[in-house]
Amino acid sequence: MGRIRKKFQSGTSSIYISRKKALKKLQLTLKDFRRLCILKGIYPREPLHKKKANKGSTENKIYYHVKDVNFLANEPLINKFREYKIFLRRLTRAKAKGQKDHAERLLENKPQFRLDLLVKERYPTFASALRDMDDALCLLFAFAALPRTKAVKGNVVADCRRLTTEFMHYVIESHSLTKTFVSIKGIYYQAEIMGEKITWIVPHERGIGHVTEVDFNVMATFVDFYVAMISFVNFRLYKALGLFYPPKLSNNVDEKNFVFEENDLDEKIYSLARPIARTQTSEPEPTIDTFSESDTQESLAEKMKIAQALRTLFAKCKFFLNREVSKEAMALIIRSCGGTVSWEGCIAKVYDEKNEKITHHVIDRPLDNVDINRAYVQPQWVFDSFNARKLLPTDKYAPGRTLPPHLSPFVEEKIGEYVPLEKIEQLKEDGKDITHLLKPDEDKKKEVKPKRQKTKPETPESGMSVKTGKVFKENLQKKLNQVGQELKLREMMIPKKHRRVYKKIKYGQKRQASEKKKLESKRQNN
Amino acid sequence: MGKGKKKGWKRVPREADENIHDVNLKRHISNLPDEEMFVIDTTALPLEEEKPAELTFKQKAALKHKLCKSALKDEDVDMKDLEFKTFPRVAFSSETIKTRSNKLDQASTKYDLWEEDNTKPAESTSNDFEAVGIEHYDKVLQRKRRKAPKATRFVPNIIPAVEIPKEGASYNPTLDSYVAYANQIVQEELKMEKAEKKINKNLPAKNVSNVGPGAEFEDFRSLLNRDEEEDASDDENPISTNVSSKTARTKPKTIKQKKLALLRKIQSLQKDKESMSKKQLQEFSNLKKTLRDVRKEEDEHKAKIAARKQQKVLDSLTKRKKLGRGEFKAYEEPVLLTEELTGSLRQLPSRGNILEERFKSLQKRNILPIAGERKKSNRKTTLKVKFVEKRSVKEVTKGSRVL
Repeated sequence: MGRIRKKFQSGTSSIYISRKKALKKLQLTLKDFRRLCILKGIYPREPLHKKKANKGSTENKIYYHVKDVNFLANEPLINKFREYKIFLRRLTRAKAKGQKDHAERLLENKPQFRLDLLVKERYPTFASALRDMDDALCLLFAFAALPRTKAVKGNVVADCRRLTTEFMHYVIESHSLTKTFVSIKGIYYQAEIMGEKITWIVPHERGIGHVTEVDFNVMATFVDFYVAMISFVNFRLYKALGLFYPPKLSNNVDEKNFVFEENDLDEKIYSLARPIARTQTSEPEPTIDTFSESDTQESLAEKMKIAQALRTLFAKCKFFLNREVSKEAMALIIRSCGGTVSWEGCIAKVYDEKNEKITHHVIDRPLDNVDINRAYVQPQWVFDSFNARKLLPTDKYAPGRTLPPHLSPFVEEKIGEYVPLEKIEQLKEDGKDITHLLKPDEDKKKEVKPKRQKTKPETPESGMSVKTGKVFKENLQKKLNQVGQELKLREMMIPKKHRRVYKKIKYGQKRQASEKKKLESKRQNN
Repeated sequence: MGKGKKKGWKRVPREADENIHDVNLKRHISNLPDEEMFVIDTTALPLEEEKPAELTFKQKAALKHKLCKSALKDEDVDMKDLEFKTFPRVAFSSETIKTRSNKLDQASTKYDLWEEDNTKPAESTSNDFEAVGIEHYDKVLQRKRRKAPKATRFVPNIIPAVEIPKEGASYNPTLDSYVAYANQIVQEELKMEKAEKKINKNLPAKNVSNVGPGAEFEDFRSLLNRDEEEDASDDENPISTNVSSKTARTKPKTIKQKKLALLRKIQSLQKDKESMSKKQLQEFSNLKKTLRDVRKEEDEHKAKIAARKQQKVLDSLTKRKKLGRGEFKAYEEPVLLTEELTGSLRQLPSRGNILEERFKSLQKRNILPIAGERKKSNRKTTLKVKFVEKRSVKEVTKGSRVL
């Protein structure tokens, strides 16, 4: 007889392991296991045949690959987690016993672990790290605006803020911002860095409401990892561009007061108003995507021209932002196109509100005092000009006027898709050929204003009229049928335990009635 | 412990990358000038000159007692002559005391993680002797850069992390795009409402009837009474209430009729035979066409199989998988009502939460599992009181009632 092979010992059932079993194997708590999975980039799997994987039952479990779990088992971070647990235990003991100095000493020697190795493991090349920047940036920007809570530590929020500002400085210095779009939940940006298109959302500067479904511990772990990753990415980006890391202001006049004004210096850098110091003076050439095969020499040259033009879009403009305008967003866009910006209460301000050289004053509320030498615009002008790659006429965006709609640059025009009127007009101004975008009836639509309300037709198609009526005749047969149906329904509704009795009674009644009939017919015949 | 298990202890992988941070830290610290590592506290301010501490009588007496024991026994010591040296108190400014971790933390991220350092540690040392030693050591201890196993190079999803926003989600959209966007969201809402309605419809009706407990029997009885009444009035009613009446029974067939039926049957069978042979002839002539059709169908079938396979692979990379028991609720895209579409950035109401969107996106991209609620065990948690009848024999007397 051959060897007996038991079921569920090889194949699918031996590849996947449930979360509970994995916890037992690694001897970790669920919290630590979750943290470890997030930090190491281990994701749960869905097996093809759930029944096979679960050894016969179809319960919904979370499965992990056995090789992943074995990979986790050799992770030195587990020891750090255990050390931390022991540290906490000792700390609570010391505090409870009132041993203050012991507790202080423990806190000084708190076990710290570095995530450098994990970052290197998960992103062996710099390009792979850049590809994951989307997620990381969104999370960091979202966290930078949070208040400090038990799950969200204060230094984490400070780190997020610092790293996001550093990244924004890089984007400004490298002029890599390509698209912006203001939506309801936040502002979308897209930048092209070293050939990778990176898209991220920055929430509007408003208080974050009550969030019910987010697990902050999980997000905090993600943020820990991304903080480590982005600090290295920033370092490399800065080095590539020839900037000092950590960033210093370019014209640092007050070197002597360095020690005392340290906090102020950070704030100055955070404000994005001033350029940061470089080691080289030459700026790099604009990089464009050269991988599409349909590009010819002319289109490439055109793209280069457009990219170069974008860098100096606001070069001759001096902006002043009013108090209610979001400063980070404005500063990012204006400065990445070569302009200068300042606002009231800016720590690193270059010029004052009353400066005569100010060309544009960005204001979002009704106008008070008018200075003739400057153009007053609403903030949408900056976004739209950036997306259009040219300075749009400021009269349409004057404060108090209804603005033209804010279009998304992320939508591409394809033949057949509907293109909004504004874009058509813009393209016409640029002198481009738009016949392929127009549909035959769109010529008529051009004359109509975009925000016309559609009126519904008011006259109904079926008219009201009076006709002679028919006499209502009652159909007896129908009535009887209905009665019969009702009876049947009621018979159906009899509960089961009474149904047998009812049947028997009915049978008895029928028998009696039929007997009666027989007798009567006999009598009649006689 | 078996021999095989002990061998595994040596195989704990030692990576060359393990000490990447410490090496860089040491390098950084050794390169730092003294001024950055240490700070000389020049801000110490001496306090005002204090008078020598005044001793209490008790302290003076104790001192005197001690002095009496010493060599100055014979001499008369005057308390005023004794000077007690006091050192000036110095205030330390808190700025200069920097915790150890602060400086080191800042130092640690200032190196390039992706620096292409292709030189092996053996080649980095100039000393030949050392290089040979390092090489040998690496070989013996199996020090290599460990690769992540194939299973962990798993890509959970290829959907982009940040999805491109819709045109109608702009804070100042065009009319058409806004209407399209709002319609989409309205459709989703209608779907949800429909599902809710369906659930509510199938719920058991609450106690609507205000009839008492003996109602079912009354109903039953009324049915029977009704039947009796009906049977009585059956003859008077000319129109029959019998909906299902039997058809009239046919009379038995005569021999002639039987023969006719047989003939008809034989005729029909012959006709079928003829048509079959005709059909067969036709098929022979259309053989090529039928073969072509069959081949076409086969090709289509194969193409469908291939397409389905491709779609399956694509689905596994793009769709959300069910990881865990919990239910996934998609992120509701925020919409502005027409009243809120002022077109002013300042008056834009706050809608939607980026953190929630990110969290849901992570769940959608199969990165985070949705565990769901904890399983409730069917074990009974309350103790059941056991009713024990205790009877004592002595209670039973004349006239007592035992139930």
